[in-house]
Amino acid sequence: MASITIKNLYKYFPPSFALQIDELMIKEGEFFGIIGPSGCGKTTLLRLITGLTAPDRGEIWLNGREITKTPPEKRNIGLIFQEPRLFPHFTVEENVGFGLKMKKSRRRDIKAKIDEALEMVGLTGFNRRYPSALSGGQKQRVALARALVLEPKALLMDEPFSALDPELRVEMRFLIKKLQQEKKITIIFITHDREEAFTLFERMAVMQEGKILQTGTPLHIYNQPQNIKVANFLGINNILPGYIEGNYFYTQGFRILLGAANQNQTAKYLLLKPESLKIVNGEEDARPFLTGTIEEITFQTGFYHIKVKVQSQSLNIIQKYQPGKNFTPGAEVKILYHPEEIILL
Amino acid sequence: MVSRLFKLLIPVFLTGMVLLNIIPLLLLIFLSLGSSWMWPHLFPGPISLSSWKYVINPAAGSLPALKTSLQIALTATLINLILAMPAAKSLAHYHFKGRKACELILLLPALIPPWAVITGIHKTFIYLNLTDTMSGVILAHLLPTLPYMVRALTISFASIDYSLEEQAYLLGGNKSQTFFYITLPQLLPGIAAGSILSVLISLSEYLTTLIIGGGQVLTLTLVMFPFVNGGNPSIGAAYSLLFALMALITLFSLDTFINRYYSENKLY
Repeated sequence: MASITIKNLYKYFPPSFALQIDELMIKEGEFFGIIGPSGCGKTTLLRLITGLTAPDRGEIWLNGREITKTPPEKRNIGLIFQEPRLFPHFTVEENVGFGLKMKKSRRRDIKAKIDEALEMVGLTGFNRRYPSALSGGQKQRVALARALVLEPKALLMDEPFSALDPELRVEMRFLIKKLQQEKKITIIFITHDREEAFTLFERMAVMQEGKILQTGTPLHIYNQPQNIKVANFLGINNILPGYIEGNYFYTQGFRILLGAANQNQTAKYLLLKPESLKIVNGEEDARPFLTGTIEEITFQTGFYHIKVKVQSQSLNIIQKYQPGKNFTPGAEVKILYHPEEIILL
Repeated sequence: MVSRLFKLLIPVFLTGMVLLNIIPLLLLIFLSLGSSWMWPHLFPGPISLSSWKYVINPAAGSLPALKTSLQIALTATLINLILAMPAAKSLAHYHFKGRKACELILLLPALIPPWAVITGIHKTFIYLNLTDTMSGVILAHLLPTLPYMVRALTISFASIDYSLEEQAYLLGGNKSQTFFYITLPQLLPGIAAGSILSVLISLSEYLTTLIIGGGQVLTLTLVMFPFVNGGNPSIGAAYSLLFALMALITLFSLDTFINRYYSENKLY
């Protein structure tokens, strides 16, 4: 396992897309994530690291050795795609053993390593099956075994589970997390799924339009996003434009009380996390509040997602489901907020 | 209503097709076995094996002709394969200027009547001392067969899943390993199709063989032509059947060979 360092990496795709990474360091044995909307250059970055795509300029270092010009077959970096890319004319064991065979390992070693790798991904006994006889999840497990059997210096994963159904996706996340902790594999994992990011990553980078906007632990980025694009991508979708005067932030039609820590006088935006707001139907509370009208309610696994209109703006609010507490569209409600949980940008 | 009519017509159509194919074959068999079948006799004359005896007789030279035919067809096909592989790959994957023109030029020999070019080739081959030789005939046979090989392989290359090649590189496979283990198996159906067409066309080639071979290179087509062309229809029929049998066996073995290669291309 090894560390990966990227310096001034640049790749241009005509007519108008460019990937530009000034600096990115992934530590040895780290579960690193890259998150961003589709088309932001995540996949390109992985292809550059594996050598499938050549950069226009810049450097890629693996464990203190520059590999920018090394061909992909000599890098020993595993890459798992969204689709499993198994060789259809080979059996499971031939697929898993392909890399070892290419390296001309000894036959007996190959056999033992294949069995070990298949056991790791929970597919013992599937040796002689063909890919066409496997389910989607099993195929992706074979792809994982095929990469792991080579003991790669790093394992890159390009949205590997997004084609699987939700239950299987959770199961695969658990498997990869477990393998990563046991084997201390350096992993770079791409996703556009926030939930996946928060469950898996030790550190992550938020990417957009070919650039890295922010790096840090998922929690740190969520609590202190550097700009509204990052915040919006991570699900902080109440972004109010305005200005600060005294202890208040003034936005269209209403004002919000700021906490003592929030005295960033030049802030142009105020961000409210949807789960930090609380709707009350009239009961008294000492906290500051806004008043608005419920516009829309959707129910999602234990939580209400509620849109409330406050003056001319809509606020998104997530409320835990509680028996007996109902919300009705059109109802006039109070929204409590914590001045200390406000983010100013 | 229409669909029901259609359903009724399908068996009729199929039977018609089968008969169309079988009747000439049956006639050939009758013809090769019967010494005569003249008007107003309802049935052919007594069965006679004289035509077959002639064909099998070593003096007729059928066996060497058959051997020559196969040698030429298989060698030409092998050369076609080597020539067509890079051409087909380029046509399928590189979008260069004049690609369409290249495609057309490669296809032209199949479109232009052989007479138009064969005299020119003949003249050139005389300078090169290639006339009246088997090598000359093999080279000349590339002309009508290569377009089909290129066509079949181009389609094959176009349908290849290149993500699998990428995957092979990522697993440490070098260029030749990747081609051998990953690309070639995907090309096999196209190779089979192209080879079969090439072999069949070469086997039935008459004009090029006659002119370039100058009557010195005797293929089965050359040997049987005079009989078919009025000399002795009965012997011609026997030769035709022999020819069909040869083509059938060649196709069958080619197919088996490729299929076996495909299924035995195991890693270990």
